[in-house]
Amino acid sequence: MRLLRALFLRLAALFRKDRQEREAAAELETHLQLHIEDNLHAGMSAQEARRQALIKLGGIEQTKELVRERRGLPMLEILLQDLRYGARMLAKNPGFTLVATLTLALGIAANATIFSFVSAVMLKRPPVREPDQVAVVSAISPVSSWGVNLNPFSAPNYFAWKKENHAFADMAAADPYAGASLTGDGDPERVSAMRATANYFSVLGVSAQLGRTFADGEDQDGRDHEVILSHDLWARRFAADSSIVGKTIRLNGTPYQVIGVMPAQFLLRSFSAQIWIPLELNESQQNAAARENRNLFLFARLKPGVTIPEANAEFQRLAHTAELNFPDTEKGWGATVLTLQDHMIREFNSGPAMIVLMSTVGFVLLIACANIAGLLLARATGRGKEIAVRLAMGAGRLRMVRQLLTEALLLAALGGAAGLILTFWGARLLKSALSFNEEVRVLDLSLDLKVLAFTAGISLLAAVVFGLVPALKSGTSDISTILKNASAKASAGRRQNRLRSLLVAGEVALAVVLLTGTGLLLTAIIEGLSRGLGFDQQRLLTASLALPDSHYPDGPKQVGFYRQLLAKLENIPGAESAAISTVLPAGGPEEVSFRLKEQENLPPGERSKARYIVVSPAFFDTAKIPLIRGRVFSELDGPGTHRTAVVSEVFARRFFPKGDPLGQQVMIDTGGESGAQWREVIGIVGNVKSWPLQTSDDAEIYENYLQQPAGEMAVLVRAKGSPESMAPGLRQAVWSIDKDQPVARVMSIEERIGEQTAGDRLFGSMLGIFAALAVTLSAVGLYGLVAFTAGLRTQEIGIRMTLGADKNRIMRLVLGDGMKLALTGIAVGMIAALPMRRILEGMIHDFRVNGSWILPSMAAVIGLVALLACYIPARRATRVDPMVALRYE
Amino acid sequence: MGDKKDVWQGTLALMVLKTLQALGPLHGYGIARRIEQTSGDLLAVNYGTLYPALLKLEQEGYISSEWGTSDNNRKAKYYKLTRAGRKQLDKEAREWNQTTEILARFLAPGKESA
Repeated sequence: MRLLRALFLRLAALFRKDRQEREAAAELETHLQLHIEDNLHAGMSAQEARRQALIKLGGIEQTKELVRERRGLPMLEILLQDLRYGARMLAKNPGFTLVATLTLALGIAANATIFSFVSAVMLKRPPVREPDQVAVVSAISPVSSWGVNLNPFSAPNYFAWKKENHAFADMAAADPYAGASLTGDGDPERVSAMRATANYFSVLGVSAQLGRTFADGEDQDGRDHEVILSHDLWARRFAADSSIVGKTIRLNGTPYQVIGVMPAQFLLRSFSAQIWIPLELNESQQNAAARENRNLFLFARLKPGVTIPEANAEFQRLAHTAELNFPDTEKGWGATVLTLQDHMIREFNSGPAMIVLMSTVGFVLLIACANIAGLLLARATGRGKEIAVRLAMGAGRLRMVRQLLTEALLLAALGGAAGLILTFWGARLLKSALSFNEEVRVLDLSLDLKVLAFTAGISLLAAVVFGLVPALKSGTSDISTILKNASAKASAGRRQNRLRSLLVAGEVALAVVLLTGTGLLLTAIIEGLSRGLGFDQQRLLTASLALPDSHYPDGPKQVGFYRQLLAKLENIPGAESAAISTVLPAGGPEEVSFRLKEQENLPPGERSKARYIVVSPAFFDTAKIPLIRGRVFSELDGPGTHRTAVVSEVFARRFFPKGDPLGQQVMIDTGGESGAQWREVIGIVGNVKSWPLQTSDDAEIYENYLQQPAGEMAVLVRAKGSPESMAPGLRQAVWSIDKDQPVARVMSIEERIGEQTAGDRLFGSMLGIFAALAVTLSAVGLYGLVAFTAGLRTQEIGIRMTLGADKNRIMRLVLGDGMKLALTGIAVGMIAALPMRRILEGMIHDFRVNGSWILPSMAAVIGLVALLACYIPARRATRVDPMVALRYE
Repeated sequence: MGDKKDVWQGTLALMVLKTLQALGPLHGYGIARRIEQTSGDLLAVNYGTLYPALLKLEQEGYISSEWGTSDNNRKAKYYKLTRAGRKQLDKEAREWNQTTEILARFLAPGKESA
């Protein structure tokens, strides 16, 4: 109560300042007079009486200040006063304010933009009910192969664990990579489909925007011809038809009834689908083939009170039991339980890139802060006198520190606001660049509360970093020295400059480290992009075909289709040759285990692995992959003739280090009865990269599609001219055989490679931008310091010139001072950057670069930039007119 | 630093209240002199710190002030105790006595071993 009353009175006092100020002055005056009178009574002289009274009162101004502080709300009042004063100072120095704000804005915007990306990947919660309770169970493969080791399970495990686990309230299974041909109005289209058990949507706790999701039992035979559409497909293909529910669409030639449309925001990164259809599972199938068929991710909702670690422990036990019970198929396979969000983060697999980007922009901000701290220090030198006067007038030292900090905060607020505007553009720009695949397309880079809070947070942090140093510095300077010293500017300048020099040398060192890291990464990317992929990328048109089982149930049907297609493709005007393959060159990894006849017979899980591609005989000619020895496949090979295989150079070298692979027998674990047949190696071809930017080479083994038919194939057509111009011809060729067959991703192979490398190129260009920013900022910092110091020394330079120093000498003097700093910074930076390559190699999978030249050349680049930054002020110093300089001050 | 000042201000406030109770309305200089005299000149009141303390007591409503004329015909600001101030004085004096009593017991020689 009392406190409140006092607070209220003090608040009110803010608005009645003048009267109270007068009253306080009058009161103290009375006090003084009364005291003097008393002293006179005590027998002092008039002068002595006044002197004693003043000493006892302890300085009228200080007392007034103490009363003032008690009267109002000093915190608030001082803050307002400081803000007002700070704003005036900033407005009075528009050049300083502009440079500082811009520097800070760039640093903050770089950080906030990258954070908006990191936040979209890591912090956005999946659009499901109580996302923390939703878990994904994935299999851990015994052979940790390419990419993230999170794999699907087989149906028998799903059925067993659904019953046996105690952690989950409910568990659903889904095959996210089903895919289907959508036919009907318009061109036939390949859509990505998820086949899911009926409880999938209830486990996630999401409902349809139109219609409904699956009901119990709709994943049983006979009731399963129902489909749910994604918002995107519904809007695009069905023109957002609000009466779509109940209509029938054709998938893989079969009618399906639309029962619902999902809302637009139902996007699960790495499980995105255009349609959902019921997954029909047969519990009675428990044989080895069913166990080998791993295609189901398990989605579950935790029971109340059960935690993820508990669920994880239980599923590790269950997986272990399965290993013991079914050693042939389950040996070595583990299980892991992650929240849906963590699963998506893990699948996104960009941890190292995000760490690199965040640290890069962190460095940029640090350099920006060092710059501003330098500028503030320079200004503090000029303000030394002002501050000393204020201290003498009764201002507390703490008060001065606070005032300088308030100014720093004001500057940070300006920089933060400007930075936020830049971030808005930055995030938009980044969003438009993130369009090269489905996973990044669904990222939401909006400037939400988290991004805003982050921006405010780093602005504040920046203010503390760049504001504290000069503030503390000024709080400790000695008043009397400054006031006594007529040319306080120069003397204080020296002392302050030591700190500034440290800041600038530090900036240069940071820039060297940053530039080296960026240089290594960029070189790796550029080397990767220019590296040959083992085939001719030019004038090659590609497309993806997936023959539905409903129309092409067996090998002969598939072969029949592709034979016709290849004949037609070769006759498209402008086509040179045509081929098909299960995986395109550099189109991604595809592993198979195999066994050489001369090797001991290991269980399939422990056998050697190679990249496995099924191709048509003309594939090597079409892709221009050189034949090194032996022969390639023939049109005459077939299911009846004896089986053949072609291997790559690396395969031959790795698995036949001494002997000749030609004529050797190999068994490829393709499953089914064909897997058990021996193939004769008939040829060796050049190696092809498994993906663009790959530094290593994989062993590769090829089979003839006539002997190992497949429904899903990529088409390659070598053009005489522009590959894109053959696209309509390619589509027509397919549709003239089967008008309902979708033709997906008709594009040149260069475009495909462009999509695959888009992420790396984007990463590289972002790093390039930030590195350039860092170098520019540190050059500005160096320039600022050298120019400022030279300015302080104008008088000295004038004297030197009068005494006979020539321009070269002056130039050397100023340049030397700056370059001493720069070289110190560069040396420190080079030492700090030495382990950079090792760090990157440890962090990034498949990172190899031939870059011992990078560190010295980056240091040289910074050296040159530094030279330029010092040269400009040095040149100006040589133009000093001695007469003017001597009159200076 | 803050702690020390608080203790001192707290004690000073008590002394001010007591002085005003004993002598009735009084101006700042008078209060300061009276405190010094009562302490037998053991305490040197820094007059400068007295005015913020008076202002604080006034804001809290324990004393009130008005301008009046001093014995030697000077315009001075007179402070006097309010009802709330009287209560506060009783309370604080009681607490203070208790505290000193307790401390005295602790500091009394030989009591503990007896």
